[in-house]
Amino acid sequence: MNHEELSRIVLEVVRSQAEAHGGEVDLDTPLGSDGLGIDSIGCLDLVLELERRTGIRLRDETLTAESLATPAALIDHLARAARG
Amino acid sequence: MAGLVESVAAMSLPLPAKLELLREAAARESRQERLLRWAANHREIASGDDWCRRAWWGAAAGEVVRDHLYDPERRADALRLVEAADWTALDEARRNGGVILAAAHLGPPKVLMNLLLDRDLPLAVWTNTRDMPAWLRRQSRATLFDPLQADQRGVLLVRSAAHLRAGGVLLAAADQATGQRPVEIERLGIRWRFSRGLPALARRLGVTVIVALALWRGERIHVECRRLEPPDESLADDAWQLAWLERYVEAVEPTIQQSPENLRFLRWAVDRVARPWEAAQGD
Repeated sequence: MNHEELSRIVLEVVRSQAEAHGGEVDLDTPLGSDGLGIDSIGCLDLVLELERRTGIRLRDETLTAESLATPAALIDHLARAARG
Repeated sequence: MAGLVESVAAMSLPLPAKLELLREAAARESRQERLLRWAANHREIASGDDWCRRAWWGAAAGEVVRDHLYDPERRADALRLVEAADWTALDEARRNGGVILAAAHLGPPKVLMNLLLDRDLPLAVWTNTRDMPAWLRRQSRATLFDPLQADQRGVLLVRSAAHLRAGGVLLAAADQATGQRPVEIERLGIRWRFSRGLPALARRLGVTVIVALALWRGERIHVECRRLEPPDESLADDAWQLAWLERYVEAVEPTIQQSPENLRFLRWAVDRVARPWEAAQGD
Protein backbone atom coordinates (compact mmCIF):
# COMPACT_ATOMS: atom_id res chain seq x y z
CA MET A 1 0.00 0.00 0.00
CA ASN A 2 1.53 3.32 -1.03
CA HIS A 3 1.56 6.50 1.04
CA GLU A 4 -1.17 8.15 -0.99
CA GLU A 5 -3.55 5.25 -0.54
CA LEU A 6 -2.76 5.04 3.17
CA SER A 7 -3.44 8.77 3.55
CA ARG A 8 -6.77 8.45 1.75
CA ILE A 9 -7.91 5.59 4.01
CA VAL A 10 -6.81 7.35 7.19
CA LEU A 11 -8.64 10.55 6.25
CA GLU A 12 -11.75 8.59 5.27
CA VAL A 13 -11.84 6.69 8.55
CA VAL A 14 -11.09 9.77 10.64
CA ARG A 15 -13.78 11.75 8.78
CA SER A 16 -16.34 9.04 9.43
CA GLN A 17 -15.44 9.14 13.14
CA ALA A 18 -15.47 12.94 13.09
CA GLU A 19 -18.98 13.13 11.66
CA ALA A 20 -20.33 12.65 15.15
CA HIS A 21 -18.31 15.64 16.24
CA GLY A 22 -19.15 17.81 13.21
CA GLY A 23 -15.57 18.80 12.60
CA GLU A 24 -13.57 19.53 9.45
CA VAL A 25 -10.63 17.21 9.03
CA ASP A 26 -7.27 17.72 7.40
CA LEU A 27 -3.96 16.01 7.96
CA ASP A 28 -3.06 18.21 10.92
CA THR A 29 -6.41 18.29 12.70
CA PRO A 30 -5.90 17.18 16.32
CA LEU A 31 -7.99 14.11 17.04
CA GLY A 32 -8.26 14.64 20.79
CA SER A 33 -9.90 17.18 23.04
CA ASP A 34 -8.05 20.06 21.39
CA GLY A 35 -9.61 19.22 18.01
CA LEU A 36 -12.19 16.62 17.01
CA GLY A 37 -12.75 15.51 20.59
CA ILE A 38 -12.52 11.82 19.79
CA ASP A 39 -12.51 10.06 23.17
CA SER A 40 -10.52 6.99 24.19
CA ILE A 41 -13.12 4.50 22.92
CA GLY A 42 -13.43 6.48 19.68
CA CYS A 43 -9.66 6.27 19.42
CA LEU A 44 -9.77 2.49 19.86
CA ASP A 45 -12.51 2.18 17.22
CA LEU A 46 -10.51 4.38 14.87
CA VAL A 47 -7.40 2.22 15.15
CA LEU A 48 -9.29 -1.07 14.87
CA GLU A 49 -11.05 0.19 11.73
CA LEU A 50 -7.76 1.39 10.25
CA GLU A 51 -6.21 -2.01 10.92
CA ARG A 52 -9.16 -3.69 9.24
CA ARG A 53 -9.01 -1.42 6.20
CA THR A 54 -5.24 -1.42 5.76
CA GLY A 55 -4.35 -4.90 7.01
CA ILE A 56 -1.58 -3.28 9.09
CA ARG A 57 -1.46 -4.43 12.69
CA LEU A 58 -0.22 -1.98 15.28
CA ARG A 59 1.97 -3.36 18.03
CA ASP A 60 1.53 -2.56 21.70
CA GLU A 61 4.99 -1.26 22.45
CA THR A 62 5.29 1.16 19.54
CA LEU A 63 2.20 3.27 20.17
CA THR A 64 2.39 6.63 21.86
CA ALA A 65 -0.01 9.51 22.37
CA GLU A 66 1.88 11.33 19.60
CA SER A 67 1.12 8.53 17.11
CA LEU A 68 -2.58 9.13 17.69
CA ALA A 69 -2.47 12.92 17.74
CA THR A 70 -3.40 13.78 14.12
CA PRO A 71 -4.20 11.99 10.85
CA ALA A 72 -0.66 12.79 9.66
CA ALA A 73 0.85 11.17 12.74
CA LEU A 74 -1.35 8.10 12.27
CA ILE A 75 -0.29 7.80 8.63
CA ASP A 76 3.38 7.98 9.64
CA HIS A 77 2.86 5.39 12.35
CA LEU A 78 0.97 2.99 10.07
CA ALA A 79 3.61 3.41 7.36
CA ARG A 80 6.35 2.55 9.86
CA ALA A 81 4.36 -0.43 11.13
CA ALA A 82 3.87 -1.66 7.56
CA ARG A 83 7.62 -1.52 7.01
CA GLY A 84 8.06 -3.58 10.18
CA MET B 1 3.84 12.12 64.12
CA ALA B 2 3.07 8.68 62.76
CA GLY B 3 -0.51 7.48 63.07
CA LEU B 4 -1.51 4.19 64.64
CA VAL B 5 -1.51 2.17 61.42
CA GLU B 6 1.79 3.59 60.27
CA SER B 7 3.29 2.80 63.70
CA VAL B 8 2.04 -0.78 63.54
CA ALA B 9 3.37 -1.16 60.00
CA ALA B 10 6.83 -0.08 61.18
CA MET B 11 7.00 -2.52 64.11
CA SER B 12 9.52 -5.36 64.09
CA LEU B 13 6.86 -8.02 64.40
CA PRO B 14 5.73 -10.80 62.10
CA LEU B 15 2.92 -9.59 59.83
CA PRO B 16 0.25 -11.88 61.43
CA ALA B 17 1.07 -10.34 64.81
CA LYS B 18 0.57 -6.86 63.35
CA LEU B 19 -2.82 -7.90 62.00
CA GLU B 20 -3.73 -9.20 65.45
CA LEU B 21 -2.69 -5.89 67.03
CA LEU B 22 -4.97 -4.11 64.59
CA ARG B 23 -7.85 -6.39 65.64
CA GLU B 24 -7.33 -5.25 69.20
CA ALA B 25 -7.15 -1.61 68.15
CA ALA B 26 -10.26 -1.88 65.95
CA ALA B 27 -12.69 -1.93 68.90
CA ARG B 28 -11.45 1.50 69.97
CA GLU B 29 -10.47 3.08 66.65
CA SER B 30 -13.64 2.16 64.79
CA ARG B 31 -15.70 4.35 67.15
CA GLN B 32 -14.84 7.37 65.02
CA GLU B 33 -17.52 9.81 63.99
CA ARG B 34 -16.94 9.69 60.24
CA LEU B 35 -17.12 5.90 60.03
CA LEU B 36 -20.15 5.73 62.31
CA ARG B 37 -21.87 8.38 60.18
CA TRP B 38 -21.03 6.51 56.99
CA ALA B 39 -22.48 3.32 58.47
CA ALA B 40 -25.62 5.14 59.59
CA ASN B 41 -26.10 6.55 56.08
CA HIS B 42 -25.58 3.23 54.30
CA ARG B 43 -27.84 0.80 56.08
CA GLU B 44 -28.09 -1.53 53.09
CA ILE B 45 -24.41 -2.26 53.61
CA ALA B 46 -23.54 -1.38 57.18
CA SER B 47 -24.98 -2.23 60.54
CA GLY B 48 -23.73 -2.15 64.10
CA ASP B 49 -20.47 -1.92 66.00
CA ASP B 50 -19.16 -5.22 64.72
CA TRP B 51 -19.53 -3.98 61.13
CA CYS B 52 -17.52 -0.84 61.99
CA ARG B 53 -14.81 -2.88 63.71
CA ARG B 54 -14.46 -5.20 60.74
CA ALA B 55 -14.47 -2.33 58.24
CA TRP B 56 -11.82 -0.42 60.19
CA TRP B 57 -9.67 -3.53 60.56
CA GLY B 58 -9.84 -4.29 56.83
CA ALA B 59 -8.78 -0.77 55.89
CA ALA B 60 -5.95 -0.77 58.43
CA ALA B 61 -4.76 -4.26 57.58
CA GLY B 62 -4.79 -3.35 53.88
CA GLU B 63 -2.49 -0.40 54.53
CA VAL B 64 -0.06 -2.60 56.46
CA VAL B 65 -0.11 -5.28 53.76
CA ARG B 66 0.57 -2.66 51.10
CA ASP B 67 3.50 -1.37 53.15
CA HIS B 68 4.96 -4.90 53.20
CA LEU B 69 4.35 -5.41 49.49
CA TYR B 70 6.25 -2.23 48.71
CA ASP B 71 9.32 -3.30 50.69
CA PRO B 72 11.54 -5.87 48.91
CA GLU B 73 12.63 -7.31 52.28
CA ARG B 74 9.08 -7.87 53.55
CA ARG B 75 7.07 -8.40 50.36
CA ALA B 76 7.09 -12.20 50.72
CA ASP B 77 5.50 -11.90 54.20
CA ALA B 78 2.46 -10.26 52.64
CA LEU B 79 2.18 -12.83 49.87
CA ARG B 80 2.37 -15.65 52.43
CA LEU B 81 -1.01 -14.48 53.74
CA VAL B 82 -2.58 -15.66 50.50
CA GLU B 83 -4.24 -19.05 50.58
CA ALA B 84 -3.18 -21.26 47.67
CA ALA B 85 -4.76 -19.51 44.71
CA ASP B 86 -6.61 -21.52 42.10
CA TRP B 87 -5.73 -20.09 38.68
CA THR B 88 -7.52 -22.81 36.71
CA ALA B 89 -10.10 -20.39 35.24
CA LEU B 90 -7.32 -18.09 34.03
CA ASP B 91 -5.17 -20.90 32.65
CA GLU B 92 -8.13 -22.39 30.78
CA ALA B 93 -9.17 -19.01 29.37
CA ARG B 94 -5.65 -18.30 28.16
CA ARG B 95 -5.83 -21.28 25.83
CA ASN B 96 -8.28 -19.23 23.76
CA GLY B 97 -6.20 -16.04 23.65
CA GLY B 98 -6.14 -12.83 25.64
CA VAL B 99 -7.91 -12.51 28.99
CA ILE B 100 -9.20 -9.51 30.92
CA LEU B 101 -9.00 -9.88 34.68
CA ALA B 102 -11.63 -7.41 35.89
CA ALA B 103 -10.56 -6.53 39.42
CA ALA B 104 -12.16 -4.21 41.97
CA HIS B 105 -11.15 -1.85 44.74
CA LEU B 106 -12.06 -4.52 47.25
CA GLY B 107 -9.81 -6.46 49.60
CA PRO B 108 -6.22 -5.60 50.52
CA PRO B 109 -4.67 -3.34 47.87
CA LYS B 110 -2.13 -4.52 45.30
CA VAL B 111 -2.19 -8.16 46.41
CA LEU B 112 -3.71 -9.51 43.20
CA MET B 113 -1.30 -7.49 41.08
CA ASN B 114 1.69 -8.72 43.06
CA LEU B 115 0.56 -12.34 42.83
CA LEU B 116 0.26 -12.01 39.08
CA LEU B 117 3.60 -10.23 38.76
CA ASP B 118 5.19 -13.33 40.23
CA ARG B 119 3.58 -15.64 37.70
CA ASP B 120 5.14 -16.23 34.31
CA LEU B 121 2.51 -14.33 32.34
CA PRO B 122 2.45 -11.78 29.53
CA LEU B 123 0.82 -9.26 31.84
CA ALA B 124 -0.34 -5.68 31.45
CA VAL B 125 -1.80 -3.79 34.40
CA TRP B 126 -3.84 -0.63 34.64
CA THR B 127 -2.56 0.83 37.88
CA ASN B 128 -1.59 4.02 39.58
CA THR B 129 2.13 3.75 38.83
CA ARG B 130 3.00 6.74 41.03
CA ASP B 131 1.83 4.74 44.00
CA MET B 132 4.46 2.07 43.35
CA PRO B 133 8.09 2.18 44.46
CA ALA B 134 10.64 2.39 41.66
CA TRP B 135 12.21 -0.99 42.50
CA LEU B 136 8.89 -2.79 41.93
CA ARG B 137 8.28 -0.99 38.65
CA ARG B 138 11.82 -1.86 37.53
CA GLN B 139 11.60 -5.48 38.65
CA SER B 140 8.22 -6.04 37.08
CA ARG B 141 8.18 -7.61 33.65
CA ALA B 142 4.60 -6.45 33.20
CA THR B 143 3.53 -3.49 31.10
CA LEU B 144 2.12 -0.89 33.48
CA PHE B 145 -0.44 1.61 32.19
CA ASP B 146 -1.64 4.49 34.32
CA PRO B 147 -5.36 5.18 33.68
CA LEU B 148 -5.14 8.36 35.75
CA GLN B 149 -3.21 10.11 32.97
CA ALA B 150 -6.05 11.70 31.03
CA ASP B 151 -4.03 12.43 27.89
CA GLN B 152 -2.95 8.78 27.63
CA ARG B 153 -6.33 7.03 27.80
CA GLY B 154 -6.68 6.54 24.05
CA VAL B 155 -3.20 5.03 23.94
CA LEU B 156 -4.03 2.90 26.98
CA LEU B 157 -7.01 1.31 25.23
CA VAL B 158 -5.24 0.81 21.92
CA ARG B 159 -2.11 -0.68 23.51
CA SER B 160 -4.25 -2.86 25.77
CA ALA B 161 -6.12 -4.10 22.70
CA ALA B 162 -2.85 -5.00 21.00
CA HIS B 163 -1.66 -6.75 24.15
CA LEU B 164 -4.86 -8.81 24.43
CA ARG B 165 -4.81 -9.66 20.76
CA ALA B 166 -1.31 -11.02 21.20
CA GLY B 167 -2.66 -13.40 23.86
CA GLY B 168 -1.76 -11.26 26.87
CA VAL B 169 -3.50 -10.93 30.23
CA LEU B 170 -4.81 -7.51 31.25
CA LEU B 171 -5.45 -6.79 34.92
CA ALA B 172 -7.65 -3.72 35.42
CA ALA B 173 -10.08 -2.54 38.06
CA ALA B 174 -13.47 -2.08 36.44
CA ASP B 175 -14.88 -0.03 39.30
CA GLN B 176 -13.40 3.35 38.58
CA ALA B 177 -14.61 6.25 36.52
CA THR B 178 -11.67 7.92 34.87
CA GLY B 179 -12.97 8.56 31.36
CA GLN B 180 -15.66 10.67 29.76
CA ARG B 181 -19.32 9.65 29.92
CA PRO B 182 -19.12 7.35 32.96
CA VAL B 183 -21.87 4.78 33.50
CA GLU B 184 -23.84 5.11 36.73
CA ILE B 185 -25.43 2.13 38.44
CA GLU B 186 -27.37 2.51 41.65
CA ARG B 187 -27.06 -0.44 43.98
CA LEU B 188 -27.14 -0.90 47.75
CA GLY B 189 -28.13 2.74 48.18
CA ILE B 190 -25.01 4.06 46.46
CA ARG B 191 -24.61 5.50 42.98
CA TRP B 192 -21.51 3.77 41.62
CA ARG B 193 -19.67 5.22 38.62
CA PHE B 194 -17.74 3.21 36.06
CA SER B 195 -15.62 3.91 33.00
CA ARG B 196 -16.74 2.47 29.70
CA GLY B 197 -13.22 1.60 28.56
CA LEU B 198 -12.94 -1.92 29.95
CA PRO B 199 -16.31 -3.19 28.70
CA ALA B 200 -15.66 -1.51 25.35
CA LEU B 201 -12.36 -3.35 25.11
CA ALA B 202 -13.99 -6.65 26.12
CA ARG B 203 -16.62 -6.35 23.41
CA ARG B 204 -14.34 -5.26 20.60
CA LEU B 205 -11.71 -7.90 21.31
CA GLY B 206 -14.17 -10.66 22.22
CA VAL B 207 -11.80 -11.94 24.89
CA THR B 208 -12.70 -13.90 28.01
CA VAL B 209 -13.35 -11.78 31.08
CA ILE B 210 -12.75 -13.09 34.59
CA VAL B 211 -13.79 -11.13 37.66
CA ALA B 212 -10.74 -11.55 39.88
CA LEU B 213 -10.59 -10.48 43.52
CA ALA B 214 -8.12 -10.94 46.36
CA LEU B 215 -10.20 -10.71 49.53
CA TRP B 216 -9.74 -10.95 53.26
CA ARG B 217 -11.00 -14.21 54.70
CA GLY B 218 -10.22 -13.95 58.40
CA GLU B 219 -6.55 -13.00 58.59
CA ARG B 220 -5.76 -14.76 55.33
CA ILE B 221 -6.29 -13.58 51.77
CA HIS B 222 -8.35 -15.61 49.35
CA VAL B 223 -8.29 -15.26 45.56
CA GLU B 224 -11.58 -15.58 43.68
CA CYS B 225 -11.81 -15.94 39.91
CA ARG B 226 -15.20 -16.08 38.26
CA ARG B 227 -15.93 -15.87 34.56
CA LEU B 228 -18.11 -12.96 33.45
CA GLU B 229 -20.38 -14.04 30.61
CA PRO B 230 -20.74 -11.42 27.87
CA PRO B 231 -24.14 -9.75 27.38
CA ASP B 232 -26.32 -10.39 24.35
CA GLU B 233 -24.44 -9.50 21.19
CA SER B 234 -27.54 -7.87 19.67
CA LEU B 235 -27.43 -4.98 22.18
CA ALA B 236 -26.32 -1.55 21.03
CA ASP B 237 -22.92 -0.49 22.31
CA ASP B 238 -24.03 1.69 25.26
CA ALA B 239 -26.60 -0.90 26.36
CA TRP B 240 -24.01 -3.68 26.07
CA GLN B 241 -21.55 -1.75 28.23
CA LEU B 242 -24.26 -1.13 30.82
CA ALA B 243 -25.26 -4.81 30.82
CA TRP B 244 -21.60 -5.85 31.16
CA LEU B 245 -21.12 -3.50 34.11
CA GLU B 246 -24.34 -4.71 35.75
CA ARG B 247 -23.02 -8.28 35.57
CA TYR B 248 -19.75 -7.11 37.06
CA VAL B 249 -21.64 -5.37 39.89
CA GLU B 250 -23.64 -8.55 40.53
CA ALA B 251 -20.36 -10.42 40.86
CA VAL B 252 -18.88 -8.03 43.44
CA GLU B 253 -22.09 -7.07 45.26
CA PRO B 254 -22.06 -9.96 47.79
CA THR B 255 -18.62 -8.91 48.95
CA ILE B 256 -19.74 -5.30 49.41
CA GLN B 257 -22.85 -6.38 51.26
CA GLN B 258 -21.42 -9.09 53.48
CA SER B 259 -17.77 -8.40 53.99
CA PRO B 260 -16.94 -5.00 55.54
CA GLU B 261 -13.24 -5.83 55.90
CA ASN B 262 -13.00 -5.85 52.11
CA LEU B 263 -14.43 -2.37 51.52
CA ARG B 264 -11.25 -0.70 50.42
CA PHE B 265 -13.13 2.49 49.57
CA LEU B 266 -13.33 3.13 53.33
CA ARG B 267 -9.57 3.61 53.44
CA TRP B 268 -10.11 7.16 54.68
CA ALA B 269 -11.03 5.64 58.06
CA VAL B 270 -7.36 4.91 58.83
CA ASP B 271 -4.12 6.82 58.63
CA ARG B 272 -2.03 6.31 55.54
CA VAL B 273 1.38 4.69 55.68
CA ALA B 274 3.82 7.11 54.06
CA ARG B 275 5.23 6.32 50.62
CA PRO B 276 8.26 8.60 50.34
CA TRP B 277 8.86 7.76 46.67
CA GLU B 278 5.65 9.60 45.71
CA ALA B 279 7.14 12.93 46.78
CA ALA B 280 10.32 12.09 44.88
CA GLN B 281 8.20 11.68 41.73
CA GLY B 282 6.92 15.21 42.08
CA ASP B 283 3.46 14.66 43.55
